[in-house]
Amino acid sequence: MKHKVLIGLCVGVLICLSSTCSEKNDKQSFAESKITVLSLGDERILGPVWDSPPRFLVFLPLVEYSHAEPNPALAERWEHSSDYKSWTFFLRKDVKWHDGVPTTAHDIKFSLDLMDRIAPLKQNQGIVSYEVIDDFTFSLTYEKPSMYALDYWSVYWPKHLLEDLDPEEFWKWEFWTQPVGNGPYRYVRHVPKTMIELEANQDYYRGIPKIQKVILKFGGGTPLTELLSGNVDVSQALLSDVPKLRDDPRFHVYYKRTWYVGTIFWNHRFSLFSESSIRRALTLAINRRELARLLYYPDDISLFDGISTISQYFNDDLPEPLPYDPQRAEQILEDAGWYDRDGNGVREKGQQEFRFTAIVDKSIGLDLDKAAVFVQDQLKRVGIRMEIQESQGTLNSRFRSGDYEAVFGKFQNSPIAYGGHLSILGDNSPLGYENSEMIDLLKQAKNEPDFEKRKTIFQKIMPMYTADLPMTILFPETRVLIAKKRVRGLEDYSDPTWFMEYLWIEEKE
Amino acid sequence: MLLNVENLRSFFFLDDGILRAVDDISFHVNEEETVALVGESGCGKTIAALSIINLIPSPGRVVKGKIYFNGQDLLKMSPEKIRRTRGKEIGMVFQEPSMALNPVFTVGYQIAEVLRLHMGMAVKEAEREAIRLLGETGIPEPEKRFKAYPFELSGGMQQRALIAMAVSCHPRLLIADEPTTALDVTVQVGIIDLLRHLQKLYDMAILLITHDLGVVAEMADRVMVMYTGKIFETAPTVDIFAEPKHPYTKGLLGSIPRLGKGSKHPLQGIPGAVPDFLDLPPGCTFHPRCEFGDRDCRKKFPMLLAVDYIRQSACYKHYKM
Amino acid sequence: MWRHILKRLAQAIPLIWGILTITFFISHMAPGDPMDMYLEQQRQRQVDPEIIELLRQKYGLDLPIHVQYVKWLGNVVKGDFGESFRYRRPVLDLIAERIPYTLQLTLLALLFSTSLGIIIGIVSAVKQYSALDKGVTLGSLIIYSIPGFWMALMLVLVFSVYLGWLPTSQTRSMDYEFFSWGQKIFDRLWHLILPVFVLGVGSAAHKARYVRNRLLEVMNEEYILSARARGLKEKMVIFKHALRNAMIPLVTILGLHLPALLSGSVLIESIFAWPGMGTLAVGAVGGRDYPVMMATLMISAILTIVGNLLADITYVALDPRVSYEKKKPV
Repeated sequence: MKHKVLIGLCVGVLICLSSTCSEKNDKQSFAESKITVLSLGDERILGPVWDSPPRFLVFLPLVEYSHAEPNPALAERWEHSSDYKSWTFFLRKDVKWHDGVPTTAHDIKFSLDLMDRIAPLKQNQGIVSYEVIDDFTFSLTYEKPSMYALDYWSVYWPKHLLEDLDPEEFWKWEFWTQPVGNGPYRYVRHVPKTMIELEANQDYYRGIPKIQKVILKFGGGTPLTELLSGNVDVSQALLSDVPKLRDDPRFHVYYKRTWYVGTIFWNHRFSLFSESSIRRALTLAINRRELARLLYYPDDISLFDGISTISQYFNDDLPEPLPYDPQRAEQILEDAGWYDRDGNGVREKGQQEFRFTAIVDKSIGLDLDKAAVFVQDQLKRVGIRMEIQESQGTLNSRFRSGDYEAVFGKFQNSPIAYGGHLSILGDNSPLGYENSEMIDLLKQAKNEPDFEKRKTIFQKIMPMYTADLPMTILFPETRVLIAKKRVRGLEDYSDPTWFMEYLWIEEKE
Repeated sequence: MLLNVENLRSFFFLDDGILRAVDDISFHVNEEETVALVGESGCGKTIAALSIINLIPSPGRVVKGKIYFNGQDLLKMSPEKIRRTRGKEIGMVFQEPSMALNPVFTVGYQIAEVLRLHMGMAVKEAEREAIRLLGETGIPEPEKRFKAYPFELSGGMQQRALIAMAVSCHPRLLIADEPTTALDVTVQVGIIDLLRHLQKLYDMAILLITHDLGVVAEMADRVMVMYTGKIFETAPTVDIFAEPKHPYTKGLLGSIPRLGKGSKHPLQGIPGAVPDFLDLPPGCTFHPRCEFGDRDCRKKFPMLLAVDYIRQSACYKHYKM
Repeated sequence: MWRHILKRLAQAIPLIWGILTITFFISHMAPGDPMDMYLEQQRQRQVDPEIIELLRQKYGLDLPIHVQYVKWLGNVVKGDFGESFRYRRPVLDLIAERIPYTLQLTLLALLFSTSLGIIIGIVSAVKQYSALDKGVTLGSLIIYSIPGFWMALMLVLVFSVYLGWLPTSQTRSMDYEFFSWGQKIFDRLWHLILPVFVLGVGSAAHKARYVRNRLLEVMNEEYILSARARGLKEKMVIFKHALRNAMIPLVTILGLHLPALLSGSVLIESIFAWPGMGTLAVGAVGGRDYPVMMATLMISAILTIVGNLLADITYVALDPRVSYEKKKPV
């Protein structure tokens, strides 16, 4: 009886093992320069599943962004109608799929058709129609003025390899794990749930990439041990991992700012926060530089009190933050009539004490819970009592309906993104903040595809923002990239797989 | 003499002190003889029996003494050798058959297991023999019962199966520890008959451990009466019943109901209770309950001495009886 | 017996339905919005609120909750669990892909913890109060109080980073595809050593204590004395007569392990980059990925019920006293 159970168990395990075994070809090449990158996801990472940077190793987008400017990639140049509704792309004629077949406008149409058919991929971007004008010219028409045509997230697939496959079997196509692309690297092999090996595309239209071989190793959970054991050359890591690796001579730490900013949202409908002077006092009372240091941000992280155009996000010329000045904060509070008369450490005005509850959105990361504890202490020093309430789920609906006093959350510091400026400061602002002039300008900025013009709009917005100070921006979300020192060229790019062709390996002498 | 126990002492070493469960007893069992070890519950008789096969539960152990079985001292045997003696040369039957049978194996399996182990029988052969033994111990449809689990049998059947197990290797000595106590009166008779039948059949000696003088009268050739770890009296069964030579024995006999004579002799118990083993009275341990107990009895425990040519008693006052 | 099983299974259906209904409503009414997670994923992308609305419509999230529920239940009955919001793939595909990995890990961990637990339990019961027994007791106490993730990280640091004997994470080596069949099996087992150890060792300590105590209890039973009085070898007494009786309650524990076999362990999976069900399920809850969430939950609910049933059935096999048929004592 017991033996049978044991044998059964063993057989079960063997079956499980073998069901995930797969046979593959026996090609192996040894390249001179090789890089191993720790990635999230699995071998489907190059397929249609993840909107992930590694796809750009294998596939070309129409345009590529660097420093917020769209640059030619698969599209050599593009034109748009004056109302930004119609876009025409002129494709390069020298881009070939890795099997040698040229990439044409038919591939783009085919890919859009295909995405339309497969439910989870279907993305209604307000496209009215698209058509192939000639082999290398493609046009799109939108319902409304749109910048989506320059969306660099889409990649396109080879029609000649996929058109005869059954779309019903879309998710089972081998192509997604063994893709044939047109980008700087070509697929060589993969080991399920373990790695994908890519090699430099010798026919790449911009020339052969400098790094010969790229290995994407999966399993993002353990960057520290993977780096320490020398298994990977580059990995994303947590800010809190930095102290453990900073002094290791093998590695270099790169900090990359994202669009998101950790922010305290004050509810302007709540009497305590209705005055901009009080919001200013609260902001002055918080030592944000110290907070950033506590959360392991680099010493030279840029802090600011202002909202960005897209280019500011890259250029780092956002307005200086208010200084840390608790004396001035106290002065402002006293000018507004807030005194601690009963000596209990909390200021009051009439019958009301300066007390409020801040809800911390724990689900979005950014160590906002730790930030809240720090802020609580900072405010206590100026006679303000803040209670902390933690929220596990995302707070969105509660935040939107204005059912809170203060929230520690984040927003996308971008004029055009969903969850960007307009979602916080626009109509029906969750802050209860209304500045119709600013809303008009923000809407203009959102719909302004021209970056220079957008910048002038922001020059008008910025003084309004500084005067009203509707929220307190704590710090920009910052990601950490840790790489071996021999990997070079990473300074400019937030994700190594994104711009792999610009990186190189510097061998030590 | 098949079994000769000399000066056996089995003590339990407890945190509260030393419990002298068996304190210097000597007795013997002859071939094919039935000897009864009689006493109230907790007088040490079961420990005496377990001492013979060296299975006293921890923290007890045999401290001193000699146990000659077939001329060999069991206490000096290697554990392996004494293990081979158990079950093969000395069989044992327990009081509570439902507890003494392993609930998760079939009765047949448990019998066959012994046969395979001691007799070196093959599986099939052991099975045939087990079925034969089940039949011989009076279990109807033995083929069917072979596959039964203990809980599927009645108490009497269980005891028969246990007896079958104990006699399966034709032991020279069968230790029967209260073999009928847990059973219904009607079943008891059958078990006694069975034991007597098997004794003749296999020429076994039986060491019968019981508190039931009725069973003693039915089966035993000789009786030893035990109290607080010591033997108080030993005599042939007939004589003990006719003329006890120890006040304790007399007390025991007085407490059995007798049919027909009940009107003449009212039923008497022994006054008082069995003393705590860790706090025994000085001298004769029975004296506080004894009708003849006086100052002499407190001084020293009386030796077990011959009263006449067939019996021995450990009492200073036996002449009064 | 069969009637009993069928009856229990029939009773399970409304139970599972109830569990799923309650969790459906709780999860859909809890704060949080799957679309937030969708945005999170598209962090660099500029998504128009209107697109979010369109997606909401596509996934039916704009409908009243009871309408969503009826639609969902109808699909589940047809065997359609929908598509994951997060991975944008059919839920069943995702689960089918992950179950073998989870099973490898959990079955081996179960095997490891049970066999080690039983062996240690027997040894410390047989040598009760010996130095070994005391050492094992202390050891299991220590192991039991070490947090699993910390132990995992320390073991990885020692055995993988510094000594380099074992892989840091994942299920296979990079050159796996060039290996022979034997090497492949070896490679997979090699990668399983650390996660299986970490996953199983705590439970092994627990089982060892359990087996030890049970065995000591059983060793005091009269049938053990009786077995010894029949001259059985000590090995037979312990391993056959005592162990079988001591094992019966352990079966119940193992049955209750069944849901954990498929639900996996989030901590171990994330530390060892193991593509199992644990990270899938927890990620789904965090991201309000309702289709994945409900499917993983349904698996857990079913397995809990099956586990209990299986424990009952094994109980019957091991302990003849328990039976679903009426047997009369003879």
